[in-house]
Amino acid sequence: MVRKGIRIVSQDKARIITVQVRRGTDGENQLAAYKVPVEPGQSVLGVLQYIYDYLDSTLAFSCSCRIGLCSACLVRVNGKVVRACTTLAEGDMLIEPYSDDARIRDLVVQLPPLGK
Amino acid sequence: MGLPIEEEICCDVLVIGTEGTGARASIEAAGRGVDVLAVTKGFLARSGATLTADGEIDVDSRSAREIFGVEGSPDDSPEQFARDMIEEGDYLADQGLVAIHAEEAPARVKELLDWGASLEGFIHAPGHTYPRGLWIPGLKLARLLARRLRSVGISVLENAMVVDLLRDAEGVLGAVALHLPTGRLLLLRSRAVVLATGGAMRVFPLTTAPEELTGDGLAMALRCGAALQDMEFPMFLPYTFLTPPALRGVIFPYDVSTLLEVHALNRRGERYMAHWDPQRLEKTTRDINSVAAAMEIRAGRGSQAGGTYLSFKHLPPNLLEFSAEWFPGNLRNWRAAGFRLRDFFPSLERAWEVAPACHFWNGGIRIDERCRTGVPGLFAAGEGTAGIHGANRLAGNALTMTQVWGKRAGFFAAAFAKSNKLRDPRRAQVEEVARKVLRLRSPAPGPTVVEVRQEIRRIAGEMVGIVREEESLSQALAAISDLRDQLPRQRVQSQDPRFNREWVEGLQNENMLDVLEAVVRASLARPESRGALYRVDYPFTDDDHWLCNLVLQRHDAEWTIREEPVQELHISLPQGKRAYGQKGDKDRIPR
Repeated sequence: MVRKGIRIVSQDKARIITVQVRRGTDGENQLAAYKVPVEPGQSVLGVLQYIYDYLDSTLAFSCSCRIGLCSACLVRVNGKVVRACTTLAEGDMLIEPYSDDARIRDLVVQLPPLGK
Repeated sequence: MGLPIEEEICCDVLVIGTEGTGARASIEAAGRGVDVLAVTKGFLARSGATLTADGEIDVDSRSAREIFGVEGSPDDSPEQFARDMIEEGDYLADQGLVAIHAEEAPARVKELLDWGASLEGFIHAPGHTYPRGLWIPGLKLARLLARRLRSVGISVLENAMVVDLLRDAEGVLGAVALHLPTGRLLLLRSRAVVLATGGAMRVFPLTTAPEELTGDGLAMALRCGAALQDMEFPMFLPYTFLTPPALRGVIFPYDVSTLLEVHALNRRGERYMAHWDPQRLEKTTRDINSVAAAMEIRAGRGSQAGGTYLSFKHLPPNLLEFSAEWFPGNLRNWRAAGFRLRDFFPSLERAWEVAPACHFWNGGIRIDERCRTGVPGLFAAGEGTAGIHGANRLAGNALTMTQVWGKRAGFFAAAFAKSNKLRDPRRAQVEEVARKVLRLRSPAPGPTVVEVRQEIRRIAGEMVGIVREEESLSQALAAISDLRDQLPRQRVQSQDPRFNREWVEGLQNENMLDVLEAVVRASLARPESRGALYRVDYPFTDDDHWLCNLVLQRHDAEWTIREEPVQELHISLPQGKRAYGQKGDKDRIPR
């Protein structure tokens, strides 16, 4: 059993993946690596939440609706821009901010304003 | 000045929350000629609950027919709509507010169409005597309102979490906010404030709600001297996914249950709804459905993941395949939350594990018909205000609430701002608010903000769930008191001021704890079951003694609760005692 929280991840169902996250801001990038237990049917957002909750709460990431509507959780996974909440965690991955323009910190990007 | 405030912004009306309600309030206030600053904790139209709404926005059926040209019934009326709301709310709604809500709904929806919205359908949802559900997807509504907001030149401050309101003896003065991208503290000064921050569903461990819904507005209003009402009625929606993790809290199974004959089973394979509503079974009302599931789980008859089973096994494969074609738009092809469900469930021979999730906040800040809170200059509207839904909300009425009451709050806040001045905030008060944030920036010996958040949700889930009783509610109070002592000692790992998620959580934890305590106290003070509140130690509804609203305030850590009798303005109130969930034979004589 990993640390008990809202979800209990049983060791027999979970496998450990290596998640690299490109952290920092413009001009200061570091690759942080985390070993994350994932269950079948876990999303990339779930992975980020796990890292933040149990491994490293210095990680900055955005999310809101968690159901693929709001676009707050856009990230780049293995080079492709996706919503973290609707992308399944399927193996080792590299997570980066979806854009390097207007990057605030780690995976948080100032989204271009809607409505303009 | 020596204050830790790094920027000051002045305006006439400060609107906190920018989605359905906040956007509508801002647009109205700006239209009255006052200077509006709209603030949101997230990104405009990319946060909050409005964009997650499937799209039902209710107006009475006759207006739907006459104004919008859909197949509404000419026999309906705003009065009948109001009557249905009062009945669904188990008679605790404010009949004056409900009358206004039903009366003004059509004009508010008409405006949305004038601003570019299109109606995508018209439905008859459960609980309504006539079809009233006009359909505008929440995402489109949120974006439409954002475009309107920007087009009328309203200033929008994104990623700013308002920490507390500022006031003096005369009323509200503004607020202090944490600007998340920079970690700076901002002083927002205004003549009037509108709270439109939504409910507090994130207090509960299983919820359909987005991140931001941590009850910030409710807690700030309480701390500012306003009153909270009907806090014992957070609304639960049955049949949300418990597993897989990516689908946790997603409401798709509930939607399917309204379209297909599904079977809800306990671990023994019994259709347990037979004990609660033998006629309607799984299609019973959402409150009874949630209570039934919670009772099965509590009795040790739950599923492996701690919920109940939703089974399709009895439906033929070709029937299920065909359903993918005729399900309405957002559910078509069995898509939910951005996934194709067949990727998770290749066969519907296996049942889904589901549980009721906290979905809406029925009570909240006590307001009058002008959205006034009792603190001069402080207005509130939308989810997280009390009186419109009583003890439970009708389907589709959440979006209507944003537009009717957002507009009213903006209107009355603007009028107030025009006849009141900006006043200087008291330095001591600003420092006190700033200290809350600064404390999170200093080393501390206590639990981490993550641990505190998890503990809040544990207390809520275990002791303040769908099924409540005196003993566990009292335990909750003790646990909350212990946790409150830990709040000033919360520990964070990062002192990077740029988008510090831990600081946000630390502040949200205080808000969630304040709200949870209000839920517990109100639940303890109501020895009956009604609407969204089920007390297993008082499993009946007592209309002789409890047709009143519980109004809570807190001053210097001392809570007061008073009972305000419901006023019989238009619909006569029932008498006697009845079993929970039975609305019974009522003598509903219109006055």
